[in-house]
Formats: sequence, structure tokens, C-alpha cells
Amino acid sequence: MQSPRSQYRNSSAIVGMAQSDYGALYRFSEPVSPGELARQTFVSALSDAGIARTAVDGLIVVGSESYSYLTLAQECGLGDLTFLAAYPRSGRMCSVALGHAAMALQAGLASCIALVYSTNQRSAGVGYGSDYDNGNGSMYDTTYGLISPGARYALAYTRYMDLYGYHGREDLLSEIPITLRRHATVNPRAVMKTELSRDKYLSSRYIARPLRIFDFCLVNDGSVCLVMTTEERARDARNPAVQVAAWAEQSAIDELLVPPDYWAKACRDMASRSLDPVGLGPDDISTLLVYDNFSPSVLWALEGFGFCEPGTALTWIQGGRIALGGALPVNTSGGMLSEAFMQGWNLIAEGVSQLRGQAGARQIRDCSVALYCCLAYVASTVVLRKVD
Amino acid sequence: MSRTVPEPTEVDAPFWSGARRHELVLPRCDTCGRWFFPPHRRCPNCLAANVTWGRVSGRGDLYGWVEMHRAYRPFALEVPYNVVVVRLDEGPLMISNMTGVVWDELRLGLPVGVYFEQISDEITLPLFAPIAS
Repeated sequence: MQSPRSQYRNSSAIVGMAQSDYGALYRFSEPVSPGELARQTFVSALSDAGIARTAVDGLIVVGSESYSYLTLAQECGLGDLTFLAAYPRSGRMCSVALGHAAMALQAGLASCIALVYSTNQRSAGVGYGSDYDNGNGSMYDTTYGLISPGARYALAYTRYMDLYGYHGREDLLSEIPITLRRHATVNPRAVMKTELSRDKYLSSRYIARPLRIFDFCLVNDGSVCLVMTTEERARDARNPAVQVAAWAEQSAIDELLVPPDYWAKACRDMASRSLDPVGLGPDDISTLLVYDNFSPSVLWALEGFGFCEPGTALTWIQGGRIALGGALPVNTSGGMLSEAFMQGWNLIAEGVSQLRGQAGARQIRDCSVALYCCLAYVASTVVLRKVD
Repeated sequence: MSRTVPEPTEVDAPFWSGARRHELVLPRCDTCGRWFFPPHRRCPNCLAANVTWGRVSGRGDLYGWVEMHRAYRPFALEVPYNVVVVRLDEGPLMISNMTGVVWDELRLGLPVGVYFEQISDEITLPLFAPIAS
């Protein structure tokens, strides 16, 4: 069987982007309508792009269990589309949806696609250890109390620590939540803006030992809207266009969720189908946008994409390497640990801000390439590039 | 300690009847010879449908572990409790709980053996404890 080529290359761009004010929503105690949040970001993203609503001929809605794409289309005057898709509320669908939009644009199925993610998970009381996480139950996980995705990451992380000689070194992982929290302190939109010290981390409560509360992503309300179009049309956009340079996905459907190689093979496969064909490698990446559902995911992405050797990430990240100003700034918005849990979408949005040069106090100098990756049952990656 | 009590199905009934006899019984593919778990109608390796159940040694080594400090559901165990993954000598991985060990003693490759605890009239659960290697 011939190996697949790059699933997508080089002909679309993100021209519009809008996000909710996550911090403000977090202080708001009344239930929020995800449909209303979606409409707000949709309108803002069109304005950001300088594109008229009538130019939108494609729509992808993600998080569709909690609000209807029909309602959104009706209320936003999107009754005349040539491409429409709805994806389940699931982080692994973020760059899958983005990749599908890119393919639709490349194939000429649409010329301007709005991608809308919205959730009221916090005000609606969605619990990621509740029925939502019932899984397949095939290993009798509930009977034995293996409940929540975080428990599965913790279980894989203890094995990782012991495998690579870090048994008992619970302090090392703290570099990730502490760094991301520092990033969030200069992000006006972030939910968590108070500095986190190592002492505070080490005295915080465990959720699934060795993972502590600060190793778990937030649960908050909000919405992100992206507007994508062809590269040709992107030249007319109001703000600098961000090229979707490459995209790849790779399933790794493991009984335990975290595969035994910590997605090493999946990452290599995805790199060979996304970074390699556009001539990019680890040294070319200005910023890494990692799906930080739990702190260890950052380690496994760094190793998987070859920023450091397998088993060395816990050491490699120390000393500011992944911080703003470091060799490889990671999740400069604060990520899902500290800015917002928009199931990947806020990370893409941060990549857009950085590549546009609009990240304010968080701006990375000469930011030219952002690599997004999500390690999950369906792993995926997107290469975003500044258009010269 | 209260647990979610599993309901045996047509597919995994031999596992639970084995546990009632204090025997760890798993499916094995007649075609490729592999033991597998959790039970399926077909061998997940070669997709053959001819599967025979048999008793395994009940020995294995520790593959991964976590100590749960948050009770996500009212019926969960009392926190903190551990959940472990055991790699059985015959190959398959099994999720379970371990007793007779403290957190710092949980190490990759720790030799473990199965024992059984009755939790309802119908269900006896396989659990694990350290054994001499």
C-alpha cells in the first residue's frame, strides 16, 4: 500500500479570528447560551476579516451537542451554503475540522468557510469524570475506579516517569503549569492570571496522583470563530493572513487512551506528512501550540516532534526553554491550563495572533511558523505560517 | 467500599464465572494463539471468531498506576484509592486495584499476583497484590 501523501498543503489561509473574553465569562455566574456566544464570535470574526456575511459559503460547527448549527445558520443569515458540517464536542476534532475546511477550500467546495466552536460547559456543569466519560467500559474501568481522562493520563505518566528514571520527581512537571500560568498573566483574556509558584504547586491537591489540580485544564465557557478562505482571496483580508501550510491526522486508538509509545510513532508519521513536505523541521518552529489537556501532553508532543529525545522532556523544559523569550515558547496564551479550555481552538487562535504580530505583551519576535498538535485517540497537527 | 457492580454479558460471562471460582479466565484465539483482554467476540489481532476460554497464571507485573484523590461519582471507591494496570505474563493488560502496597512501592515491573474478592452474589472481582518474584 502506498503511504499517504501530505493530506493537505498550501492553498488556504485563516483570515478572520475572534474569541470570547474567557476571564469575564468565568466571573459571570448565570448560565450562558452557547448559541449566543457563537453568534458573537461569528460576527466579530467577519469584522476582523473584513468579509461580508454574504461571502460566507461554508460552515463548520463544533460542539454541536450543546447548540444547533441550524439555529446558528438561521440567526446568522447562513441559509445558502455549499459546504456544511457539524462535529461532536471533542478536542480531537479541532484540527480535524480545520483540515477538512482546508481540503474543502482546496477542492473548491466552498470559497469562504466559518468554523465555529462554542461551549457552555462550565455554566452547564459538564463534568469530564461524569457520564460524559463513560468510555467503552471495556476494561471494567468504572468498577475499578478508573474515571476521567485525567486518570488515564496520570496512569500513563507514572509508567513514563519510572521508565525514564524520574520516579518520585513530582516537582519537575510543575515547570509546565507554572510557565503557562506566567504566560496567562500577560493575557487580558485569560481565566487564570495569578502567578503560580513551585511551592504552591507542590502543596496543591492531587486529583489523580501524580497529577495535581494545576496539571488539569480548565473547564470554562466561551467561543472561538475562525474564517478561512483560499490563499488568493486571503490577500484582500483586513488583517494579515495566516497560511494553513500543512495538516495531518493519525489515529492511535488504544485501550488505555495513551498509547505505550506516548504517540511517538503517530507524531513521526504526522511530521512526515505535514512538516516534511513543506520543508520544515523542529528548528523552524517559532512556537508550539500543544493540546494541554493535562501537563504531560506537553512532554510527549516535544519528544514526538523531535524537539528533544524520548524520555528527556522533563529535563529539557526546565530553565525557561518553553517560556516566552525561551528557545521554544509553548502555549503563549496560557494554554488550556490557564487561558481557557476551548478544546484546542484557543490555541489555534493564539497561533493566529502570534503570526499576525498582534499578541501584544506576549508577542514572540519574528514569529513565522506555529505548530499545533493534539495527542489523543485521533492525533492531529496543523502547520500555520505567516504569509510574506 | 462501594463499587459499580459489572453486569456480565454474553461475551464476558466466562470471565465472571471463572472469577467466582477464584480463577482468572481469559479468551484465547484458536487461530493465532494470542490471549486477549477485554473479551471480544473476535480476536482483535487476526479477527478469527474461534475463541476458547482458558485459565491464565494470574501473575504479571505492574505497567502503570494512579492514585485517585477525587471521587467523580457517588458510587466510586473511597478516596484515595489506586488503580493499576497489570501486564499479565500471558500478554494482555488488565485494569485493577492493588492492595498490600504503599504509593512509593509502586514501581514499573513490580511482580504481582491475582486474588479475588466477592462484591455481590454474582460478581467476584480479580484484584492484585505484590508477590515474590
